[in-house]
Amino acid sequence: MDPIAESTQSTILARTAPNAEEASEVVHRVRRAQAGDLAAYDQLVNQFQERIYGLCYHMTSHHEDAHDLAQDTFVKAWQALKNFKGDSSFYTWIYRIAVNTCLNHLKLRRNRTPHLSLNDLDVQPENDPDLVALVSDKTPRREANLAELQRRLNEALLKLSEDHRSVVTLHDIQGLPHDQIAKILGVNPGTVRSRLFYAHQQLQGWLADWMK
Amino acid sequence: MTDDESSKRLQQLIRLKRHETPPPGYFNEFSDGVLDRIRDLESKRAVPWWRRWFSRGLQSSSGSVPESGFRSVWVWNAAIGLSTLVILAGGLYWASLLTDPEKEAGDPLLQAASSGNPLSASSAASTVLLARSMSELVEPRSVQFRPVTVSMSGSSTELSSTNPLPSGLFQLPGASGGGSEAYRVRFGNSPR
Repeated sequence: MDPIAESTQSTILARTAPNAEEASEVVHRVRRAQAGDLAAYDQLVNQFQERIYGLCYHMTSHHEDAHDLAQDTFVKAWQALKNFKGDSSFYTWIYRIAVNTCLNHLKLRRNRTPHLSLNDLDVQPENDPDLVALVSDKTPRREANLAELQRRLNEALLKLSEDHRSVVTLHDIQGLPHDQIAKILGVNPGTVRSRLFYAHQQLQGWLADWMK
Repeated sequence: MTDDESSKRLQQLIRLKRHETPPPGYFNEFSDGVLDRIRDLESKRAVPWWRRWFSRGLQSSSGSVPESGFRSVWVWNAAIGLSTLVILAGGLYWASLLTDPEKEAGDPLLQAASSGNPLSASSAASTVLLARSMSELVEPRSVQFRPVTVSMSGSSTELSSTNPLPSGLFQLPGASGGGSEAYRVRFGNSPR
Protein backbone atom coordinates (compact mmCIF):
# COMPACT_ATOMS: atom_id res chain seq x y z
CA MET A 1 0.00 0.00 0.00
CA ASP A 2 1.42 3.40 -0.94
CA PRO A 3 2.11 5.92 1.87
CA ILE A 4 -0.82 8.20 1.03
CA ALA A 5 -3.26 5.34 0.95
CA GLU A 6 -1.85 3.94 4.16
CA SER A 7 -2.17 7.32 5.85
CA THR A 8 -5.79 7.71 4.74
CA GLN A 9 -6.61 4.18 5.84
CA SER A 10 -5.04 4.69 9.27
CA THR A 11 -6.91 7.98 9.69
CA ILE A 12 -10.19 6.26 8.94
CA LEU A 13 -9.44 3.40 11.31
CA ALA A 14 -8.47 5.84 14.03
CA ARG A 15 -11.79 7.59 13.49
CA THR A 16 -13.75 4.37 13.76
CA ALA A 17 -11.98 2.27 16.38
CA PRO A 18 -11.20 4.00 19.68
CA ASN A 19 -7.65 3.72 20.97
CA ALA A 20 -6.77 2.64 24.55
CA GLU A 21 -6.99 6.13 26.04
CA GLU A 22 -10.25 6.81 24.31
CA ALA A 23 -11.54 3.42 25.40
CA SER A 24 -10.84 4.09 29.09
CA GLU A 25 -12.52 7.47 28.76
CA VAL A 26 -15.51 5.73 27.23
CA VAL A 27 -15.67 3.28 30.13
CA HIS A 28 -15.65 6.15 32.62
CA ARG A 29 -18.41 7.99 30.76
CA VAL A 30 -20.47 4.84 30.47
CA ARG A 31 -20.29 4.31 34.24
CA ARG A 32 -21.41 7.88 34.88
CA ALA A 33 -24.19 7.55 32.34
CA GLN A 34 -25.32 4.31 33.93
CA ALA A 35 -25.67 6.24 37.19
CA GLY A 36 -28.04 8.60 35.37
CA ASP A 37 -25.60 11.34 34.38
CA LEU A 38 -27.10 12.74 31.19
CA ALA A 39 -24.13 15.05 30.62
CA ALA A 40 -21.83 12.03 30.45
CA TYR A 41 -24.18 10.43 27.96
CA ASP A 42 -24.14 13.62 25.93
CA GLN A 43 -20.38 13.23 25.66
CA LEU A 44 -20.79 9.64 24.52
CA VAL A 45 -23.30 10.74 21.89
CA ASN A 46 -20.91 13.40 20.65
CA GLN A 47 -18.14 10.84 20.54
CA PHE A 48 -20.04 8.29 18.48
CA GLN A 49 -22.63 10.27 16.55
CA GLU A 50 -20.68 10.51 13.29
CA ARG A 51 -19.91 6.81 13.20
CA ILE A 52 -23.44 5.74 14.07
CA TYR A 53 -24.99 8.22 11.67
CA GLY A 54 -22.55 7.03 8.97
CA LEU A 55 -23.51 3.41 9.56
CA CYS A 56 -27.23 4.22 9.33
CA TYR A 57 -26.73 6.40 6.27
CA HIS A 58 -24.72 3.79 4.38
CA MET A 59 -27.23 1.11 5.29
CA THR A 60 -30.19 3.11 4.02
CA SER A 61 -28.74 5.61 1.50
CA HIS A 62 -31.27 8.02 2.92
CA HIS A 63 -30.28 11.06 4.95
CA GLU A 64 -33.56 11.59 6.84
CA ASP A 65 -33.95 7.91 7.66
CA ALA A 66 -30.35 7.81 8.84
CA HIS A 67 -31.01 10.80 11.10
CA ASP A 68 -34.01 9.11 12.72
CA LEU A 69 -32.29 5.75 13.00
CA ALA A 70 -29.16 7.22 14.56
CA GLN A 71 -31.28 9.08 17.11
CA ASP A 72 -33.31 5.94 17.79
CA THR A 73 -30.07 4.06 18.36
CA PHE A 74 -28.88 6.51 21.02
CA VAL A 75 -32.27 6.62 22.73
CA LYS A 76 -32.47 2.81 22.81
CA ALA A 77 -28.91 2.64 24.09
CA TRP A 78 -29.80 5.03 26.93
CA GLN A 79 -32.81 2.91 27.86
CA ALA A 80 -30.72 -0.27 27.82
CA LEU A 81 -27.62 1.24 29.38
CA LYS A 82 -28.35 -0.15 32.82
CA ASN A 83 -28.27 -3.64 31.34
CA PHE A 84 -24.89 -3.06 29.72
CA LYS A 85 -22.49 -5.30 31.66
CA GLY A 86 -19.36 -4.44 29.76
CA ASP A 87 -18.90 -7.94 28.33
CA SER A 88 -18.08 -6.26 25.03
CA SER A 89 -16.87 -2.72 24.48
CA PHE A 90 -19.43 0.07 24.47
CA TYR A 91 -18.34 0.71 20.90
CA THR A 92 -19.29 -2.83 19.80
CA TRP A 93 -22.45 -2.73 21.88
CA ILE A 94 -23.82 0.48 20.42
CA TYR A 95 -22.85 -0.60 16.92
CA ARG A 96 -24.88 -3.76 17.47
CA ILE A 97 -27.88 -1.68 18.51
CA ALA A 98 -27.44 0.52 15.45
CA VAL A 99 -27.17 -2.43 13.05
CA ASN A 100 -30.27 -4.08 14.52
CA THR A 101 -32.20 -0.81 14.39
CA CYS A 102 -31.27 -0.39 10.73
CA LEU A 103 -32.09 -4.01 9.87
CA ASN A 104 -35.51 -3.73 11.52
CA HIS A 105 -36.17 -0.52 9.63
CA LEU A 106 -35.13 -2.11 6.33
CA LYS A 107 -37.34 -5.14 6.95
CA LEU A 108 -40.33 -2.88 7.52
CA ARG A 109 -39.54 -0.95 4.36
CA ARG A 110 -38.72 -4.02 2.28
CA ASN A 111 -41.82 -3.76 0.12
CA ARG A 112 -41.34 -0.09 -0.60
CA THR A 113 -39.41 1.19 -3.59
CA PRO A 114 -36.09 2.47 -2.26
CA HIS A 115 -35.86 6.22 -2.46
CA LEU A 116 -32.40 7.73 -2.33
CA SER A 117 -31.85 10.85 -0.30
CA LEU A 118 -28.12 11.23 -0.57
CA ASN A 119 -25.79 13.51 1.25
CA ASP A 120 -23.58 15.84 -0.72
CA LEU A 121 -20.44 14.29 -2.09
CA ASP A 122 -17.73 16.25 -0.40
CA VAL A 123 -14.92 15.37 -2.76
CA GLN A 124 -11.38 16.49 -2.32
CA PRO A 125 -9.51 14.35 -4.83
CA GLU A 126 -6.13 15.71 -3.90
CA ASN A 127 -6.46 14.30 -0.39
CA ASP A 128 -7.78 10.91 -1.31
CA PRO A 129 -5.78 8.50 -3.44
CA ASP A 130 -8.93 6.54 -4.27
CA LEU A 131 -10.48 9.60 -5.81
CA VAL A 132 -7.27 10.49 -7.57
CA ALA A 133 -7.46 7.10 -9.22
CA LEU A 134 -11.07 7.64 -10.18
CA VAL A 135 -10.72 11.04 -11.76
CA SER A 136 -7.12 11.05 -12.97
CA ASP A 137 -6.08 11.18 -16.62
CA LYS A 138 -5.41 7.47 -16.60
CA THR A 139 -8.97 6.68 -15.63
CA PRO A 140 -11.01 5.51 -18.62
CA ARG A 141 -14.08 7.38 -17.34
CA ARG A 142 -12.25 10.62 -16.83
CA GLU A 143 -15.29 12.67 -17.56
CA ALA A 144 -17.40 10.58 -15.32
CA ASN A 145 -19.94 12.44 -13.39
CA LEU A 146 -19.17 11.72 -9.77
CA ALA A 147 -22.76 12.35 -8.82
CA GLU A 148 -23.83 9.69 -11.29
CA LEU A 149 -21.25 7.33 -9.85
CA GLN A 150 -22.53 8.09 -6.37
CA ARG A 151 -26.09 7.30 -7.42
CA ARG A 152 -25.11 4.05 -9.16
CA LEU A 153 -23.03 3.01 -6.20
CA ASN A 154 -25.85 3.58 -3.76
CA GLU A 155 -28.32 1.78 -5.98
CA ALA A 156 -25.96 -1.18 -6.20
CA LEU A 157 -25.53 -1.25 -2.43
CA LEU A 158 -29.29 -1.19 -1.94
CA LYS A 159 -29.60 -4.22 -4.23
CA LEU A 160 -27.49 -6.24 -1.81
CA SER A 161 -29.23 -8.26 0.87
CA GLU A 162 -29.24 -6.60 4.29
CA ASP A 163 -26.67 -9.07 5.63
CA HIS A 164 -24.29 -8.42 2.73
CA ARG A 165 -24.82 -4.68 2.91
CA SER A 166 -24.01 -4.72 6.61
CA VAL A 167 -20.60 -6.29 6.10
CA VAL A 168 -19.75 -4.07 3.12
CA THR A 169 -20.71 -0.98 5.13
CA LEU A 170 -18.82 -2.02 8.23
CA HIS A 171 -15.73 -3.29 6.43
CA ASP A 172 -15.30 -1.40 3.18
CA ILE A 173 -16.79 1.93 4.20
CA GLN A 174 -16.26 2.15 7.93
CA GLY A 175 -13.02 0.17 7.94
CA LEU A 176 -13.79 -2.25 10.78
CA PRO A 177 -11.80 -5.50 10.94
CA HIS A 178 -13.48 -8.85 10.36
CA ASP A 179 -13.40 -10.01 13.98
CA GLN A 180 -15.04 -6.83 15.23
CA ILE A 181 -17.74 -7.08 12.57
CA ALA A 182 -18.27 -10.67 13.67
CA LYS A 183 -18.83 -9.50 17.26
CA ILE A 184 -21.21 -6.78 16.18
CA LEU A 185 -23.27 -9.06 13.96
CA GLY A 186 -23.02 -12.06 16.27
CA VAL A 187 -21.59 -14.37 13.59
CA ASN A 188 -18.26 -16.13 12.95
CA PRO A 189 -15.42 -14.19 11.30
CA GLY A 190 -15.55 -16.83 8.54
CA THR A 191 -19.16 -15.88 7.86
CA VAL A 192 -18.13 -12.24 7.61
CA ARG A 193 -15.44 -13.08 5.04
CA SER A 194 -17.84 -15.25 3.09
CA ARG A 195 -20.52 -12.55 3.00
CA LEU A 196 -17.96 -9.99 1.97
CA PHE A 197 -16.75 -12.19 -0.87
CA TYR A 198 -20.22 -12.74 -2.30
CA ALA A 199 -21.16 -9.10 -1.85
CA HIS A 200 -18.06 -8.05 -3.80
CA GLN A 201 -18.88 -10.48 -6.58
CA GLN A 202 -22.37 -9.04 -6.92
CA LEU A 203 -21.17 -5.45 -6.80
CA GLN A 204 -18.53 -6.11 -9.44
CA GLY A 205 -21.26 -7.37 -11.73
CA TRP A 206 -23.55 -4.38 -11.14
CA LEU A 207 -20.76 -1.81 -11.39
CA ALA A 208 -19.00 -3.40 -14.35
CA ASP A 209 -19.05 -0.08 -16.27
CA TRP A 210 -16.99 1.51 -13.57
CA MET A 211 -14.58 -1.33 -13.12
CA LYS A 212 -12.66 -0.68 -16.35
CA MET B 1 -8.11 -7.01 -15.16
CA THR B 2 -7.23 -9.69 -12.62
CA ASP B 3 -9.46 -10.59 -9.69
CA ASP B 4 -7.12 -8.84 -7.32
CA GLU B 5 -7.16 -5.66 -9.41
CA SER B 6 -10.90 -5.66 -9.81
CA SER B 7 -11.31 -6.20 -6.07
CA LYS B 8 -9.08 -3.22 -5.34
CA ARG B 9 -10.93 -1.18 -7.92
CA LEU B 10 -14.25 -2.08 -6.29
CA GLN B 11 -13.00 -1.09 -2.88
CA GLN B 12 -11.88 2.24 -4.34
CA LEU B 13 -15.37 2.77 -5.69
CA ILE B 14 -17.01 1.83 -2.40
CA ARG B 15 -14.71 4.12 -0.44
CA LEU B 16 -16.15 6.99 -2.44
CA LYS B 17 -19.07 6.74 -0.05
CA ARG B 18 -16.87 7.99 2.75
CA HIS B 19 -17.06 11.39 1.08
CA GLU B 20 -20.83 11.55 1.37
CA THR B 21 -21.30 13.97 4.21
CA PRO B 22 -24.39 15.42 5.86
CA PRO B 23 -25.15 19.15 5.60
CA PRO B 24 -22.65 21.48 7.31
CA GLY B 25 -23.30 21.91 11.02
CA TYR B 26 -25.55 18.85 11.05
CA PHE B 27 -23.82 17.28 14.05
CA ASN B 28 -23.87 20.50 16.09
CA GLU B 29 -27.44 19.88 17.15
CA PHE B 30 -27.62 16.12 16.79
CA SER B 31 -26.91 15.29 20.42
CA ASP B 32 -29.37 17.98 21.55
CA GLY B 33 -32.08 16.16 19.64
CA VAL B 34 -31.15 12.87 21.29
CA LEU B 35 -31.12 14.40 24.78
CA ASP B 36 -34.47 16.11 24.17
CA ARG B 37 -36.00 12.77 23.29
CA ILE B 38 -34.46 11.14 26.35
CA ARG B 39 -35.72 13.92 28.66
CA ASP B 40 -39.14 13.63 27.10
CA LEU B 41 -39.17 9.88 27.77
CA GLU B 42 -37.96 10.36 31.33
CA SER B 43 -40.61 12.98 32.08
CA LYS B 44 -43.31 10.72 30.63
CA ARG B 45 -42.07 7.91 32.82
CA ALA B 46 -42.34 10.18 35.88
CA VAL B 47 -46.01 11.02 35.15
CA PRO B 48 -48.55 8.51 36.55
CA TRP B 49 -50.10 6.25 33.97
CA TRP B 50 -53.62 7.61 34.44
CA ARG B 51 -52.50 11.17 33.74
CA ARG B 52 -50.78 10.07 30.55
CA TRP B 53 -53.93 8.19 29.63
CA PHE B 54 -56.15 11.19 30.08
CA SER B 55 -53.75 13.55 28.34
CA ARG B 56 -53.73 11.20 25.37
CA GLY B 57 -57.50 11.20 25.40
CA LEU B 58 -57.58 14.97 25.49
CA GLN B 59 -55.23 15.06 22.52
CA SER B 60 -57.48 12.75 20.55
CA SER B 61 -60.63 14.68 21.46
CA SER B 62 -59.01 17.95 20.41
CA GLY B 63 -58.32 16.45 16.99
CA SER B 64 -54.57 16.98 17.11
CA VAL B 65 -52.20 14.20 16.14
CA PRO B 66 -50.53 12.86 19.27
CA GLU B 67 -46.85 12.00 19.35
CA SER B 68 -47.67 8.35 19.64
CA GLY B 69 -49.70 8.45 16.43
CA PHE B 70 -53.27 7.74 15.42
CA ARG B 71 -53.14 4.09 16.34
CA SER B 72 -52.77 4.87 20.02
CA VAL B 73 -55.73 7.25 19.77
CA TRP B 74 -57.82 4.46 18.28
CA VAL B 75 -56.79 2.14 21.13
CA TRP B 76 -57.59 4.86 23.66
CA ASN B 77 -61.05 5.45 22.20
CA ALA B 78 -61.76 1.72 22.13
CA ALA B 79 -60.68 1.42 25.76
CA ILE B 80 -62.95 4.31 26.76
CA GLY B 81 -65.90 2.78 24.89
CA LEU B 82 -65.35 -0.62 26.42
CA SER B 83 -65.07 0.79 29.93
CA THR B 84 -68.30 2.73 29.45
CA LEU B 85 -70.12 -0.40 28.29
CA VAL B 86 -68.87 -2.40 31.26
CA ILE B 87 -69.95 0.30 33.71
CA LEU B 88 -73.36 0.57 32.04
CA ALA B 89 -73.94 -3.18 32.08
CA GLY B 90 -72.86 -3.38 35.70
CA GLY B 91 -75.22 -0.56 36.62
CA LEU B 92 -78.16 -2.23 34.90
CA TYR B 93 -77.46 -5.51 36.63
CA TRP B 94 -77.22 -3.81 40.00
CA ALA B 95 -80.44 -1.94 39.38
CA SER B 96 -82.26 -5.18 38.55
CA LEU B 97 -81.17 -6.63 41.89
CA LEU B 98 -82.49 -3.66 43.82
CA THR B 99 -85.97 -3.50 42.33
CA ASP B 100 -87.85 -4.22 45.64
CA PRO B 101 -85.88 -2.79 48.55
CA GLU B 102 -88.37 -3.85 51.27
CA LYS B 103 -88.52 -7.43 50.16
CA GLU B 104 -84.87 -7.66 49.41
CA ALA B 105 -83.79 -6.11 52.69
CA GLY B 106 -84.16 -9.41 54.52
CA ASP B 107 -82.97 -11.56 51.68
CA PRO B 108 -79.73 -13.27 52.66
CA LEU B 109 -78.86 -13.59 49.00
CA LEU B 110 -78.77 -9.83 48.56
CA GLN B 111 -77.04 -9.35 51.86
CA ALA B 112 -74.36 -11.72 50.74
CA ALA B 113 -74.10 -10.01 47.38
CA SER B 114 -73.84 -6.61 48.96
CA SER B 115 -71.05 -7.77 51.24
CA GLY B 116 -68.64 -7.05 48.41
CA ASN B 117 -66.86 -10.38 48.60
CA PRO B 118 -67.81 -12.46 45.55
CA LEU B 119 -66.65 -15.70 47.13
CA SER B 120 -68.69 -15.30 50.27
CA ALA B 121 -71.66 -14.09 48.21
CA SER B 122 -71.55 -17.20 46.09
CA SER B 123 -71.13 -19.48 49.09
CA ALA B 124 -73.96 -17.79 51.00
CA ALA B 125 -76.23 -17.99 48.00
CA SER B 126 -75.72 -21.73 47.66
CA THR B 127 -76.34 -22.26 51.37
CA VAL B 128 -79.57 -20.29 51.31
CA LEU B 129 -80.87 -22.09 48.25
CA LEU B 130 -80.05 -25.46 49.80
CA ALA B 131 -81.81 -24.55 53.02
CA ARG B 132 -84.95 -23.52 51.13
CA SER B 133 -85.05 -26.82 49.28
CA MET B 134 -84.58 -28.82 52.47
CA SER B 135 -87.33 -27.00 54.33
CA GLU B 136 -89.75 -27.82 51.53
CA LEU B 137 -88.88 -31.49 51.86
CA VAL B 138 -89.08 -31.61 55.63
CA GLU B 139 -92.54 -30.01 55.90
CA PRO B 140 -94.94 -32.61 54.46
CA ARG B 141 -97.44 -30.19 53.07
CA SER B 142 -99.06 -32.50 50.56
CA VAL B 143 -97.69 -35.91 51.44
CA GLN B 144 -100.40 -38.46 52.30
CA PHE B 145 -100.11 -42.00 53.55
CA ARG B 146 -102.51 -44.82 52.83
CA PRO B 147 -104.66 -45.89 55.83
CA VAL B 148 -103.31 -48.94 57.55
CA THR B 149 -105.55 -51.31 59.60
CA VAL B 150 -103.91 -52.70 62.67
CA SER B 151 -105.66 -55.53 64.59
CA MET B 152 -105.05 -56.79 68.12
CA SER B 153 -105.71 -60.37 69.07
CA GLY B 154 -106.15 -61.81 72.61
CA SER B 155 -103.75 -60.80 75.31
CA SER B 156 -100.90 -60.52 72.94
CA THR B 157 -99.37 -57.20 72.84
CA GLU B 158 -98.13 -57.90 69.38
CA LEU B 159 -99.71 -55.99 66.69
CA SER B 160 -100.64 -57.26 63.36
CA SER B 161 -101.75 -55.24 60.47
CA THR B 162 -103.08 -55.69 57.05
CA ASN B 163 -99.78 -54.40 55.85
CA PRO B 164 -96.61 -56.30 56.61
CA LEU B 165 -95.29 -54.11 59.36
CA PRO B 166 -92.37 -55.27 61.39
CA SER B 167 -93.26 -56.40 64.94
CA GLY B 168 -92.41 -54.14 67.84
CA LEU B 169 -92.81 -51.06 65.81
CA PHE B 170 -95.98 -49.97 67.54
CA GLN B 171 -96.84 -49.98 71.21
CA LEU B 172 -100.48 -48.91 71.30
CA PRO B 173 -101.92 -47.44 74.49
CA GLY B 174 -104.27 -49.87 76.41
CA ALA B 175 -103.18 -52.79 74.35
CA SER B 176 -102.89 -55.11 77.37
CA GLY B 177 -106.69 -55.81 77.56
CA GLY B 178 -108.39 -58.86 75.96
CA GLY B 179 -110.67 -59.01 72.96
CA SER B 180 -110.07 -58.22 69.46
CA GLU B 181 -110.21 -54.65 68.53
CA ALA B 182 -109.48 -53.11 65.33
CA TYR B 183 -107.65 -49.89 65.35
CA ARG B 184 -107.38 -47.66 62.48
CA VAL B 185 -104.21 -45.82 62.54
CA ARG B 186 -103.79 -42.91 60.42
CA PHE B 187 -100.48 -41.53 59.52
CA GLY B 188 -99.87 -38.07 58.41
CA ASN B 189 -102.32 -35.21 58.49
CA SER B 190 -104.82 -36.43 55.96
CA PRO B 191 -108.49 -35.73 56.84
CA ARG B 192 -110.33 -38.38 58.79
